[in-house]
Amino acid sequence: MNVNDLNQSEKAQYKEVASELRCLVCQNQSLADSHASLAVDLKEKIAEQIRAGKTSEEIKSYMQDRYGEFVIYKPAYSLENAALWLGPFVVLVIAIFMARKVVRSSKVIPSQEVPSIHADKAWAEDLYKRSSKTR
Amino acid sequence: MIKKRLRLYLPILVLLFLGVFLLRGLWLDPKKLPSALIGKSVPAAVLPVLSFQGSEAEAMQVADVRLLQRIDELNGQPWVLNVFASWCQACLIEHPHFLELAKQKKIRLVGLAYKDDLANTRRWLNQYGNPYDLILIDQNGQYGIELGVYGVPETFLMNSKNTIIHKQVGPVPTDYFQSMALPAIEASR
Amino acid sequence: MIAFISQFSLALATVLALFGAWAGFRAVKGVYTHAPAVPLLIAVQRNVLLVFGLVCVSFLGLIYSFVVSDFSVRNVAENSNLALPVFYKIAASWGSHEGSFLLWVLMFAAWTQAVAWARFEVSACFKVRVLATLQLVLVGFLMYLLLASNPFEYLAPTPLDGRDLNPLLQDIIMIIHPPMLYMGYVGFAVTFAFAVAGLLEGRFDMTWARWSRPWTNVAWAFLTVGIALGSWWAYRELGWGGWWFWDPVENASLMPWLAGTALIHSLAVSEKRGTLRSWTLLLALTTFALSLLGTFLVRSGVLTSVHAFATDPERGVFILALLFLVVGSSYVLYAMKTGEVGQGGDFKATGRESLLLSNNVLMSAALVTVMLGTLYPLVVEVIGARKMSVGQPYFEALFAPILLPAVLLMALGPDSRWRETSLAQYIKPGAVALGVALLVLLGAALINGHFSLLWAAGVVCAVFMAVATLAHAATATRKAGSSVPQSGLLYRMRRLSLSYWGMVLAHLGVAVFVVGVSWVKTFETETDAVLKPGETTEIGPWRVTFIGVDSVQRQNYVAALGVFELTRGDGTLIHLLEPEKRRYQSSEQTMTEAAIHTDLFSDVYISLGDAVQSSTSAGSWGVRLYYKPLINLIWWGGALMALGGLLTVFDRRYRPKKNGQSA
Repeated sequence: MNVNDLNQSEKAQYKEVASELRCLVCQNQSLADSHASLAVDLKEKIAEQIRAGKTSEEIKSYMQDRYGEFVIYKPAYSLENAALWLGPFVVLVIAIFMARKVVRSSKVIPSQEVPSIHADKAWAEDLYKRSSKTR
Repeated sequence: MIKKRLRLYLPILVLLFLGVFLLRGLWLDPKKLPSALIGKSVPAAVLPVLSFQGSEAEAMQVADVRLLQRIDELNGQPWVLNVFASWCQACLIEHPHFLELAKQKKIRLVGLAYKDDLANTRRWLNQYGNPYDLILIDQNGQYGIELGVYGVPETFLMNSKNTIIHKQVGPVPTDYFQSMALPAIEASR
Repeated sequence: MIAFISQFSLALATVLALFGAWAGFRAVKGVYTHAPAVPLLIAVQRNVLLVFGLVCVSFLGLIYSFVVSDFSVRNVAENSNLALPVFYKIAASWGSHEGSFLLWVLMFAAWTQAVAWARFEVSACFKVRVLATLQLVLVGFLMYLLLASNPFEYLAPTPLDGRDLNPLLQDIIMIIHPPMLYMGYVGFAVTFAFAVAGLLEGRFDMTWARWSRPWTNVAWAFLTVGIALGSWWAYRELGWGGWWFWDPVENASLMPWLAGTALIHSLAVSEKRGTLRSWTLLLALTTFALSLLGTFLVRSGVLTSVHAFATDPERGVFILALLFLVVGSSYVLYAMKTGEVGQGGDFKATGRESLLLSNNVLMSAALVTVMLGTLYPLVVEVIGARKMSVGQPYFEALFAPILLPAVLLMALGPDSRWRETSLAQYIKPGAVALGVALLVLLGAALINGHFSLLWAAGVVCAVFMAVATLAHAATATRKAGSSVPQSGLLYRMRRLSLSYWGMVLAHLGVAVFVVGVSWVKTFETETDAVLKPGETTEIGPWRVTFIGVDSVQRQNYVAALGVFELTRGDGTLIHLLEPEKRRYQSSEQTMTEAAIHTDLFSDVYISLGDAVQSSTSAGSWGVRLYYKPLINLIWWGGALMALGGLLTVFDRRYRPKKNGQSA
């Protein structure tokens, strides 16, 4: 069964499923993007199953039963992958929290107290002078 | 105070944590996939059998092949299914090992001609020798998909109850039977 | 002979660099008691020059070996052959693992030399420490090169001809991509060295921040170019129209880029306001750490990638050890010494500091996302022996939502004031920008008849930000000339600092990039067709007619050359596209070379498939056609970003004045 034999809505489902499965012989591509011979075979299988009325979940299960979890390109929303999916948000929340603390803890310091570049220049010159004295 | 100290040592802790995994990862092969079918029954199917007697000139199409074999009828004794093809270079590496295994008659060897032109398969077997007790044909790769085959060669080991107990991805080593097949059969008893 | 000289140079360089680092660190301690600082600095600078010279000799030696096809050098035999064009022979010197690492070492020595030559106002002791740190790290790399990854390894018996340079690498962009990338990775080592020197010295004044900035900006600009080139190259060479795959090696370059972007903005706060110093320090150390992590990931084979060099656990262990030593010791130093650096903040949530801080927050989240997605499969496999994969769907789901708010905030940036900004200031320019953005969106939606949330969000944010930035630039330019009536545009523009224009350009680059990505992802089309000579098909607004396939022979390959005629709907515009299917003689590898036609930033992309073998359709070929609207904005955006970064370096502030007074 070729993808071109599918109708509009079937094609949409096909595209979605093929982009969520990994091509196992390529190094980093979804089935949708790959033209390797195994990928072509698997894509035909997907088209067959869509025509037979299977849902996307069923098709992905079918592939996973035979090829293992590795074939699923989009990691499952499972408890085991919680760290993966939630990690970025947790980090974002922590980062925002810490940033707010920095802002909150700020008191307005009068400008004179903020170290100026001239003070540093003087320090550097002093250091140079001292070092040239000890020659 | 302690919290601040802890925060300062966080980067080095993260580094150590990551480092452990990176170090371990150096000895793993990211491309090797473990089989998802270990412990499950070998998929049922009825496959055509390649008759090996017959001259090359009779290059039959799969449709002409009369003899069929049911996979589930292969139980009773442990057996090996070797997925091979005439166009596969790596298969030549493991082929002598199978020839040796066949000579010693230690275990039933079944070959699966995967996505191959039948005339080429016969020619290849004529040239390099035929170790197989039985050769099944999978021209469109559909049975390969059932097995979770993603490359050639791959070798499956089934116990007497037709459960898949071992899969080798890539050419089998010289001592395949001793080091892999026997222990797996023992373990599955 | 040459190979021997080259290896000897490297060995000598290692010894000298080690000596220079040791002597530098040792002597700098004695500066206050008996050794004068400036002569010490001069001595260290001479050491750096010597080491740089030796590394150059070695690299030239490698190039020479390739050009004369000296197959007694294993590297040459494995990556080049007699039929390879000279141009590619030279490029092959950094096409292999070993050769590319020698390039890395060369870049490192070159950056160190640049620091030695540059004149900037820090104390001589500080500069000695910076150079000594760089030399010490260089020693690590040199030792790896000599012990585990020797580009000059001897091959006996010497073959009469070599293998081939990977055909994928026989492309002009390939020549430039690694050097640009390495210039970026290694450039961050300079900021790293500044941070380490600062930690050693125990004080982080604004001088440190000020003088770190140009180095960071330049490194970032190069890394941007390197990444953009890599993406463009993949698009042109791999034959299926993709330009970013979230491949582990691509992610390995994206991570230091994200950290580097955060670092640029954090340094701005640290310089101008003296706050966030501790965080900036950590970022400076981490950005280079990520560069090293990237090197490790590419060369160790730990992750699945199209990119990875040949794998070897021993090499991986060496690089990992190097990473641990360099990064670990810097982090320990950080933990021990940062207490002396004050935090100090005096800004409100509405001030510019907050906006820059929020950039850092978002960049950090994006960085963690990429790192998590890249390393999670490895962690899971090691812990639970479960093999899973994380691919494009994961990254795309998370990356855009994290970065689009950053684009929005960039719109507010130029108008913000340090310490605090009244919100009223944002309202008028914000409203105008938003209006323009929505108009553009409406117009484009009407023309294309297509609407998607991702596209809408991307375009609105990007246009909003671009208009706000340009509006601010216009206002600032007008105000700059207010004291001098009738002043010309150029005069007024020159009164605004190059740092400012660099920022404008870089931010506009981001906007252009976002528009390109959103547009192409929403509106691209792909067609798979089997065509007989004379048949026509359509792709996007174009009509493509298949003329036929010729057979050609070039210097080191034979090819099937497809000829296609490209016409617009009305038949007037005609271009000829000639995709190839090449077979390289020495390696027997086949490669598809797509043909691309660019028209106002949009591409038509044709890739030759396979000839159809059946008897009924003899002479037919499988062809893949893509229409990619506005895709080139992606790389133009990158170019603008890099240009902006580069521009800031020429700012007056960084030029030491003749009498030694800073600007």
